[in-house]
Amino acid sequence: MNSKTITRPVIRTKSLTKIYNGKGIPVKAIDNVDLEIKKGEFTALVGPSGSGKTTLLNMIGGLDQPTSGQVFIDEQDIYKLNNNEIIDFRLNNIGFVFQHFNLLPVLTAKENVEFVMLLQKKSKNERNKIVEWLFEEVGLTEKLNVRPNKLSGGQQQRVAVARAIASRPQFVLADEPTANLDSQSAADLLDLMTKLNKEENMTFIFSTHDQRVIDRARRIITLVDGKIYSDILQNTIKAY
Amino acid sequence: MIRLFLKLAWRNIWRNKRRTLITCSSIMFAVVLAVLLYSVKDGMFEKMIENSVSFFSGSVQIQDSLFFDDRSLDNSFILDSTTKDILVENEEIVSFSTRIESFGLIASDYKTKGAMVIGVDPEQENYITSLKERLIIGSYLNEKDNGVLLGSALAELLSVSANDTIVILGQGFQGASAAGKYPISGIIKLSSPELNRQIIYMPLNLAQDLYGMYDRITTVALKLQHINESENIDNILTAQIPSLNVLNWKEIMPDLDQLIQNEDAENVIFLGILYLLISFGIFGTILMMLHERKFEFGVLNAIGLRNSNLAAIVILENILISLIGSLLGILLSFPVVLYFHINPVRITGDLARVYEDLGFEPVYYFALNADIFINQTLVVLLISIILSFYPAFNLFRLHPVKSMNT
Repeated sequence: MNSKTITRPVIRTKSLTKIYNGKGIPVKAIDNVDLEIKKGEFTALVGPSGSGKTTLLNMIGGLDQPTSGQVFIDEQDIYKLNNNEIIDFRLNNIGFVFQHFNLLPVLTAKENVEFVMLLQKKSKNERNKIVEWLFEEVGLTEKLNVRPNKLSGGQQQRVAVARAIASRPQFVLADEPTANLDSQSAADLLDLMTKLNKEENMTFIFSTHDQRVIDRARRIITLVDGKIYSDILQNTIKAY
Repeated sequence: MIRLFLKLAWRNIWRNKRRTLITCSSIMFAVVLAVLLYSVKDGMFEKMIENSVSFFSGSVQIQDSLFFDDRSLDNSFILDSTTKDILVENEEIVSFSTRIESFGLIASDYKTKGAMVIGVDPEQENYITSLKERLIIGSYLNEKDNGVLLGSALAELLSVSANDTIVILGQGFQGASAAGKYPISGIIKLSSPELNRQIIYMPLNLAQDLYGMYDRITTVALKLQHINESENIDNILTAQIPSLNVLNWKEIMPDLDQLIQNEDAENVIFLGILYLLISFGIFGTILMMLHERKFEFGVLNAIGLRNSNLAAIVILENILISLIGSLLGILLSFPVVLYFHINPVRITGDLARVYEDLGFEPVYYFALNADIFINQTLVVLLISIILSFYPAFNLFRLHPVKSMNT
């Protein structure tokens, strides 16, 4: 990756805390986390189950209101926005890839990718251009008009990545994207995201247990009990 | 955007074909049942109104201001030329007939019975009520002779027929006694069993002679182009002829109007129960759909679909299911209604007598009114929109993380 492109923080959290009331007992899922993620980073959030990876990802993604603290995206305190504003903010600024059931089963692969652009009211020409480019990028040009149930798990995740970046977001949040994939599909998906990160300077943040993802990440943030235990920049990327 | 939502809603409803078809079928049968019920009800009442209004009372009547409450011949009037001109100039009025409406005792050689004695202008009356077409035995009224027409049931009660003689006894104008002996020119059969049992027609000049009320009449019966204009014409004529009492058919026959309204209320209760059952079916579908797609709703909300848009898609899905069910219901019921509209079902036997005793013609007429079909579709749509409030409310409060964690 070109180091010059990693410049400004696209995400900044300030004293971010999330407390859940589990059976009447308050549980701190995220405890006073201060974090900065810059444009073009390829970051993995790792840690044991229950360490707060997904909770942190959800709060960064504007999906879950923190108990206290702030999340700034491009210096916009996102939790100061009302519900509709925050949904529109997610639409225009954040791409999501979930572990499974990402795609709408009633829409074809192309329609799934177009969906967010239709919500953004992009013109047909613009949508077609982006769809063409994205399906070439994810290597699924022959699957444009196929519904998700006719795609393999790996292909579905690649379409999900295409949808995540179709809206031209500031960053993509991926929650355990390779958890349900075989080795080859996981490698293909990681190749795709690495390529997009390198060539398009796309920012990716993963929550993962998967060593294959961790090995590809340039920055590894380890969470333990809702706190940042370590934050390491990794120079060597292992190839598969 | 609406095209996208419609596409999504349309494809979503076919995700579970069997469930959608079952829901559509239940709506379809409800619509069929409701359409048939309303068609028969409207048909029966339209016929009843037609029998009573078109074949007897006229859509609007003009009377002396006291006649409606006190049907004495003393409350009669002379129809002046100004009033006649007003009636002639009104384009909605097709024709009008002057009448004497009174009561009398009718005696044959065997029996005596009370009856309504109607003095009419034979030709004008035929324009209004097509009286001539009701003749089943003998000949029609003639101004130049003194023959009368009897309702067939009345003739049966008196054991008389055409060419027999009857005697009419009654009270004439200003307390004079009225009595006369008349040959029966013919027997008529009116559609209304009630009228058929008690009516006797005679030429107007003969009735004026009988009751000693020369030039005077009790009623002008009007035939309108459109029966539903009767209230409007009532208002217009009331303003134009303030000295006389103008009545529309609902005022002339308040019992009939009340009967129709009561029947409407009964149908509303019956259909309310029917639609309540259907509502549970639709609601069950909605609940299952909400439960099955909770994760998906969470994903959609996460990637940028507003809660209001999620709710709109689900409401559209319900509307589409209801529309399909309603349209199928209309397609199924239309040929049935059309067939029975052309071929009314005649009731026979004891049931027919029960109907006649209640004053109904023992025939199931089916009305073919577009508003019956439209109203049932609108009712089903309204139910589905109301039922959609529940998922809509849930989706407005949807939290993406909670939804995806379900």
